Amino acid sequence: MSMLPQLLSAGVVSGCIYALVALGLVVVFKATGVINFAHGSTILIGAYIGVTAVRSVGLPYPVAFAAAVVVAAAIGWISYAAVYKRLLGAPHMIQVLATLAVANILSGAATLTWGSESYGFPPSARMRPIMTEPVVVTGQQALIVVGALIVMIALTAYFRYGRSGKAMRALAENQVGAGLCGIRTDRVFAISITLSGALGAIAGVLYAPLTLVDPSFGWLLIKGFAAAAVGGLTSLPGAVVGGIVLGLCESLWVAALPALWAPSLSYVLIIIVLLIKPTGLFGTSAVQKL
Amino acid sequence: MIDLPRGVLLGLAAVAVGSISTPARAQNAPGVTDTTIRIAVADALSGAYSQYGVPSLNGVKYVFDKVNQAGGLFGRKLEVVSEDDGCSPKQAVGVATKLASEKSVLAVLGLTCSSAAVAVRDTIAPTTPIPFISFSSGGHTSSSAALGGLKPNFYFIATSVHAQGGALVNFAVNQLKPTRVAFIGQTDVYGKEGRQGVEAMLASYGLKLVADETMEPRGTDASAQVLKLKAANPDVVIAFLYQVPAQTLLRQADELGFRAKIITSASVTDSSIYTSLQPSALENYYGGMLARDVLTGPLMKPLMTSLQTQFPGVTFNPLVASGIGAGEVIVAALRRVGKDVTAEKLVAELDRTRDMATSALSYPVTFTPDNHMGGRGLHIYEIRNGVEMSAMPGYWPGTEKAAGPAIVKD
Repeated sequence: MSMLPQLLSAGVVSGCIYALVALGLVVVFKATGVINFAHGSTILIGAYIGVTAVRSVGLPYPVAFAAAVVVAAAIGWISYAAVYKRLLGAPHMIQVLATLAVANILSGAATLTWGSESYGFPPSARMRPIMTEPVVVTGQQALIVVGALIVMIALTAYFRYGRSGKAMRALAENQVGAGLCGIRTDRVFAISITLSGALGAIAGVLYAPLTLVDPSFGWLLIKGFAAAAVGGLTSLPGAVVGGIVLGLCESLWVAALPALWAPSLSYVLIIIVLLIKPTGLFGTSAVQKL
Repeated sequence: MIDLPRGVLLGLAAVAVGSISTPARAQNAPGVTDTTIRIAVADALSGAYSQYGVPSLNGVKYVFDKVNQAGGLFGRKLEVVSEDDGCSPKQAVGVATKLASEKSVLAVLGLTCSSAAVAVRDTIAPTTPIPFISFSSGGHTSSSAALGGLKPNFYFIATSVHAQGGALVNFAVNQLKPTRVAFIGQTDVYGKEGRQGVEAMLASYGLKLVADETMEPRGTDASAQVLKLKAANPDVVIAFLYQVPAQTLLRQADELGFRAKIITSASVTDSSIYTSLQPSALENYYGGMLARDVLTGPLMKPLMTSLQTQFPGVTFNPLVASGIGAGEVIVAALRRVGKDVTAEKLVAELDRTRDMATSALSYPVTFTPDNHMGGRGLHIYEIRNGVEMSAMPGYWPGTEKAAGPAIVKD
């Protein structure tokens, strides 16, 4: 078997994981201009809930998936009601710092609840290859790719055609103007944070069966942020493209060079993209708000 | 003035001298009173790294409780003072500074994270006579006299990463008879030191690595590494990876049809890795551990049952062996010191620890003034029908070439 097709396939799967994480960041940034550093913690909690629901409660994977999404969305809404709602008029930097504080609180709560041990989904038929030629692809890997595409299409439709989606875009463009048009800042913020929580759980529960869930699981945020930076923090297709570019680069670079270099080279790529096009490949100037 | 007989006067004088000398002795021996000896366990006890510290802390408590139930040491009970170093060098130095300056403990155990151990070794250990026994696996370099790491009062109980590499090679070469050996390690110092240990021991057999790959500690994919290893066609792959990348490697090796034997170092510490993988991913797998048996095996099960009964809320992993081993080593040294205990005497007796078998470690512990790395090998286990089983009794030495496992006599 030639190495290249398998590496391309692996890069796309990793890229879709990064893209799913990036989409959650983009949703909040598009609506509020804030980078949500608590996203990694909602990914972590979503994964913990998913693995607990399957392993300890015995729920089927789809039900566990839905439960994780609902709980993570609820956590998003609660964090809005408890923290972000009170900072709506605050400068962006204060709001970003608030997301860091929420990230620490959620991660701490997760460690108190689940401890520091690793949790793994039990092996299942989904983890078996569904095709072996020309590349090996397992059911879970296919699910990740399909999930990323569905989420991207659904979000694109929501932002283009949905009433609250359009309100989010308007608010991101011009907060004062959107307010004069009757768009409620608080409601848009609440929806975006809640939606981001749900997206975090989707990313976490789709990826978790491929690995182990422990307190470092939320590290995916870094990869998601890198993907969003490459694709553009305001662009949903950009997040997906950015994730896949990052995944492919990592995969191909490891094949050609020692893995020691791979993370550095990926971030060199990000720096090059941002130097040439600071808003990312598909982003708009909204990034200047930071 | 009351006229007292000479005998009574001598008796009162003796009591007076005794009452003066007792506090003086306590001052010379930090953490020691007439009725107690206090020993600290400073380790990662909360947060993301608490799986390293909590089992070991309870291992130490278990050993001390057994001593106390048997009457203590020369009339003194052993007390554990637990401190959280958060796996952080800065926090560990802060904790050690407090313990040393307060003179509230006779020794400090723990410091499982190598960076925390080295920070305390270099900053606090030289300022105090009390001994430190680290559970970290950084002893090869961190206690090396040639590299300036050997300190008179700083010890390492666990087998170093370098020696683990040697132990895995001894096992692989003698049991699996490979002609081609490959390596995969993390992109950090853990992988680097493991690789050095593997290469050094392979050289003693006249072998060289046929492939040498690296993985990020939290990488999402190992396809490229697995395919490159597969292309090199090794019989055995020795892996120095933490739990998460080890799981990724085993999973993807199975998916991509790579059937070489894969052997991991002692960092794979809990069974979630096995229960998350297809049985076919574990058919060619062996793991190394510090403990003398898997936790459900006949040599460890009685101990683990007692531990679970005493500490029902704690999730134990094989790292508990370090806590039990260090606890038993320091108790033995204190017994040799006798009633008049001081930190200096304790250090001297620790340096006289020779081939001491413990109830949890797979290897006997030896400390001398020139060798403060007590660990010397690994026990090997495998997975049969989804269950961890000891592959063979004993430990494979890692500091010297060995044709077979060594058995510790109880």
